[in-house]
Amino acid sequence: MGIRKKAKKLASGAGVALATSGLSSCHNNGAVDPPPPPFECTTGVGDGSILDAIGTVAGTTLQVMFMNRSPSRWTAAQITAVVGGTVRPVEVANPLVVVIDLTNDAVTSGSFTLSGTVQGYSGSSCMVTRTFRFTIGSSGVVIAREDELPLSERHAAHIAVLSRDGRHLQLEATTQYAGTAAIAWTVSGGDVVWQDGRRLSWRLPEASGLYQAQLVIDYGPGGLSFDALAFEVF
Amino acid sequence: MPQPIALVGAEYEENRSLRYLAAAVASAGFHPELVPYNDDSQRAAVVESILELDPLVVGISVPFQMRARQLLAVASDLRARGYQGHVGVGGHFATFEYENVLRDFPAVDSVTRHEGEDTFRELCGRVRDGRTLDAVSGLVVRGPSGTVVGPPRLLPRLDDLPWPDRRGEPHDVLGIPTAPLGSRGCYADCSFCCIFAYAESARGPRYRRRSPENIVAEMKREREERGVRLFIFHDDNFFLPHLPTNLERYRRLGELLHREGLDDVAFVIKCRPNDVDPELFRLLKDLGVIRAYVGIETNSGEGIVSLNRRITAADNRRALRVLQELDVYCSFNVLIFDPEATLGGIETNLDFMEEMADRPFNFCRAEVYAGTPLRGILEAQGRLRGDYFAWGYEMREPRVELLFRIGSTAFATRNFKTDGVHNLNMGIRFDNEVMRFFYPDAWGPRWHAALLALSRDVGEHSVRQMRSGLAFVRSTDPYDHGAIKAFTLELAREVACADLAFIRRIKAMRREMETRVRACGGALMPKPPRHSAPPWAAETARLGSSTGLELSTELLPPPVRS
Repeated sequence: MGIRKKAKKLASGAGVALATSGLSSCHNNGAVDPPPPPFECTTGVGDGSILDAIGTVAGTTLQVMFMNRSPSRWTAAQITAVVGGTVRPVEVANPLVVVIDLTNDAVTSGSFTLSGTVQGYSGSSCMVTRTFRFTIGSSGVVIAREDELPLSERHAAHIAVLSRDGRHLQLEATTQYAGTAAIAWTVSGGDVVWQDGRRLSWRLPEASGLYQAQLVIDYGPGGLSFDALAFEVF
Repeated sequence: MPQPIALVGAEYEENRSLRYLAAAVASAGFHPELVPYNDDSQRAAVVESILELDPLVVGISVPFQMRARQLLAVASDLRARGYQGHVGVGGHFATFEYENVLRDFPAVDSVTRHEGEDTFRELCGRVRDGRTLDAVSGLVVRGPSGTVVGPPRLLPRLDDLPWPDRRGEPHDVLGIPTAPLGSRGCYADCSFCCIFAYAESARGPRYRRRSPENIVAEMKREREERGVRLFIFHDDNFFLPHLPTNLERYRRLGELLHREGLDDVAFVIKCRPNDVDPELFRLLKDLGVIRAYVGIETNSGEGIVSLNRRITAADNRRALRVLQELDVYCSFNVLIFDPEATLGGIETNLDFMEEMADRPFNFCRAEVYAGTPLRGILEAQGRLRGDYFAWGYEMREPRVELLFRIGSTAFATRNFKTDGVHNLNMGIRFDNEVMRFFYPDAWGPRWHAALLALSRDVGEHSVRQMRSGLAFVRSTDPYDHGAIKAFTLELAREVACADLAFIRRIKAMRREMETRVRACGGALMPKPPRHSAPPWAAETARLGSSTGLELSTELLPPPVRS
């Protein structure tokens, strides 16, 4: 029997923020943090490299939320060139959310172009244009920039062994990826005692043999990374 | 009282770089202490032990960019804890990236470029005597208006160097004590190779050898004082590109070994495919060579050109066939991805890997190292990405880049972990050759055939999975993120499931091997785990012995009392 037939899949798709907050220094005798650098209309802003998008689909409704990684906010936005559906009127907000009604429930891919204006906190405004593609699969919807190859984030996933008490293990998923990621664990036998975010408590079977834990860290449009670790019970 | 000098770096096996430095500073009246630092979990303990020593100078060896941040962090941690002595770094990475290191790591006082024995010894003497460090040959320091780069230092004759400090118990494989030896450099000039770039940058000869007399004298000492019988030649290349010279040199080595009674020792060497000659390797086998690591690197036409291999695909095939006919164990690596790789070229490499699958191999991308021609080419083409800690690039063909991304994700555990199946495959095959040479009664043709079958199964499985990836990227929309992620995850799970079965076979064979060795009188002593390794990792420590590892990520119960 292959491992997948015996596997217990856990918490697939649970979003877990792996990033630590950027904390200001609080021990400098009351001084304040310096202001951020002025927002400039560089190439990365104009071509939309500052944007990430995540989507959810319910029936034939695709909702897309755009994350803006620059110190700026939307002041105008429109969606054009929609392939695979029609867009509802766009309301400018931060974060920007748009809704596309898919042509029918057989649509599994399409594209659209976002264009608009973002304004930095110092007042300067920049035009932004970017075309995105969406694909709908069994694991949800993936929205990526049109000209970006998949699996762009190449961060190793690593299963760390936190503790061991007899056959009872505590494992932790680690990665240097700083964004939001979904973590999923799969084990080839035994009992999962609990899972809390990136940590897994796993009791190995009593029967001697090799058992495996598999870890998937899903970065959304950035791709995924994978690790597996074998444990032996005598 | 000699003043202490701390030497920090990896010690998976005896670190010749640090140990040559230790011998050099000891010859000048200092007291060197080796501080092994193999993974980041040891950093606090490493810093603590240096502070306890309170050395005059701390020397940190930074050979590879992969661990550069970790190693340089030791310097920063020392300063944060109040250490006020001199902190110097050296090694391949620091040799090329000295400007960046001195700019970004204020805790570092100097960079020793190229081979450090003479420079580092002089540095320690000047620090002790309070003399200036400006304009010291081979040394880079900060000056009032930027870095002060000392003039190049003439590379020393290797026979003139004190032998490396061999303190401590030697590493052993199946109870056989081992020691690394070596010359320095390689005559070739592959575009990706930091070894060639290092010698070029030093303005010295690409390849410098020790004399057979000097080598045998050290081997004799190692045999007599520490019982060493297995010598790992870490020469970047064991040969010159001239067969008569190689024959003459190794005939002489054989005469000297015989004269000193060293007829029961074995060797491990590295070479290029064009170095493999039947007469030469027959001689070397008679001398005790039990393993040759052959630098295949690529078998595709465009790879041979873009990596500047200066050989042919026929050379690759002929080398492995000669070694097979002589029954000399070999393993190799294939850089199936390089900046100019094509899907056709990858197919050629996969065909080669399948044909040669009963020799253990691994495969990956040609990475970009500091100072190499490859780095310069990619920079000139505007294709260099990342920073000096991790250079990268995209391949010219999007579908090749996509296959690389799929492969490096799905094969991450098999190819890149120290106890990944490809490394375990190489390790157990090496153990087998050690057993065959030192415990011949424990070895037999049927046993050997089972190991060949294991290697073939591992190799063919990798080729099969990569071919499925190749077929997928040929037919899919390369921008279909959903389909590509789903395929990648499925492939990763298939590789991991197969790995579990391979690990089961490898562990069973390793235990069988240990039983056979014990039955022949071999003294296999479970080693105490090093550093923070938990006691139940002992079984795995033995499994990893072939690759010099003392620590594994596997978790095991307490060792069974035998």
